[in-house]
Amino acid sequence: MEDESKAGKVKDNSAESDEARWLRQARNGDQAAFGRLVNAYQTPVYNLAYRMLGNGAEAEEAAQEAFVRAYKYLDSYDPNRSFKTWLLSITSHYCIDCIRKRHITWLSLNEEIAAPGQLREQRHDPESEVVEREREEQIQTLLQSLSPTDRAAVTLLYWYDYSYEEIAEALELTVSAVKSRLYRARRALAEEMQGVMV
Amino acid sequence: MRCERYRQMMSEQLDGGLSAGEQGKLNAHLEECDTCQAAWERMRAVDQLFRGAAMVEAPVRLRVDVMERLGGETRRRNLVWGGIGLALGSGVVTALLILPVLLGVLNASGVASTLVSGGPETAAQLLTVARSAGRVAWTLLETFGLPLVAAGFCTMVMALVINGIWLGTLHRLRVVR
Repeated sequence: MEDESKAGKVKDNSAESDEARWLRQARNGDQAAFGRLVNAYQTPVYNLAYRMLGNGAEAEEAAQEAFVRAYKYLDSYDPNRSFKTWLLSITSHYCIDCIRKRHITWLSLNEEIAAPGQLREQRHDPESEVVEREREEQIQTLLQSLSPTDRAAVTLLYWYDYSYEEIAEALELTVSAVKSRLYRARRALAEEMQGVMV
Repeated sequence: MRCERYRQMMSEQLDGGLSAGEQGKLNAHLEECDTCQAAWERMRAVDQLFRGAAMVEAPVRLRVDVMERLGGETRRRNLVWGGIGLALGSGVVTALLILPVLLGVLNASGVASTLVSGGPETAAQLLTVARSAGRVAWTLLETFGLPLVAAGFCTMVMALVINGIWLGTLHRLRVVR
C-alpha cells in the first residue's frame, strides 16, 4: 500500500501491470480496484490541484471531483494513453474552470499558504524547515500571478517532469503553444520574482 | 535574430530543448547583450526556485472521501433504477388485476365480439362502440361493483406497501449517508 501511494513518478513494469489490472476491474464496476488507483495517484492529483488553486480545502475538493469524474468517464479512457496524464488532464481542466468561476472570493494569501498540507520531503532541521516554508510561500505567490492554463503548464513541467508533448496532451494544446506559454510564464514569473524580492 | 527570439530560446534551453548549434548562438548573443544576459539570470533564478520543489502530500482522508462519494453516486443510481422498476412492477400488477375483470365485462357485454369480427370502420360504428362502452361502464358498476371495489382495495393496499418500501429505502439511505 505504501508503494502505491508513492506513484508520483512513472512506475516499473510490474506496477504498470497492476495499474492495467485495476483499470480493467474498475471499468467493470469494481470500486475497490478504483480505490487502489486513487491511492496510487492521490498525491499527484492533490499536488496539481493545490498548485493551481492555492489553498488546501479547495484543492481537496477538486481532487475528489477529479477522481469522481475519472470513475464516471472511465469508459472513455483510451488504454493506449497514460492513465496518469489522463487523470491530470481531468484535474487541470477542472481547476482551470474553478479559477475562471471564481469571482471576488479572494482569500487572504496568508490563509491560503497556512494550510498547504504536508510536503513530501520533510526536513527535520527547524532552520531548513523555515527556509523550505518560505520557499514554498514564494512559489505559491508566484504561481498565483499566472493565468490558469500557464499555471497548469508550469506545474506539469516542474513537478511532474512532463515533456512539452505530455503537457500538450494533458492541456489539449499544440506543442508550440506549450513552448510559448512556458516562455511567457517564465518571463512573468521572473518579473514577479524581481518585484517580490525588491 | 532579435532579442525576443533569444529569450524564447532561453526558456527552451532551461528544458534542454535546444540543439548544440542553437545553444552556441544563444551563448554568443548573451555575451554581447547585457539586457538578455540579465533576463537569462532572472529566468534561471525562477527555474532554480521551482525545480526540485516538493509535492504536497494528499490529506489522509482523501481516498476515503472519494470512495464515499462514489458509493453515494452508486446508491443514487441504484435508487433511480429501483424506482423505475417499482413503478413498472406496480403498473404490471395493477394491469394483471384489472385485465381479467375488464375482459370478462367486455365479453359479457358483446363489445369484444364486435371488435374481433370487423372492428370499427365508420363513425357510426365508433359511435356504437362508444355507446357500448358507456353501457359497459354502467353494467360494470351495476353487476361487478363488488369485485371492482375488491380489486381497487387490493391495488390500494399494494400501492401503500410499495410506497412504504420506497420511503423506508429513502430513509435508510439518508441515515446511511
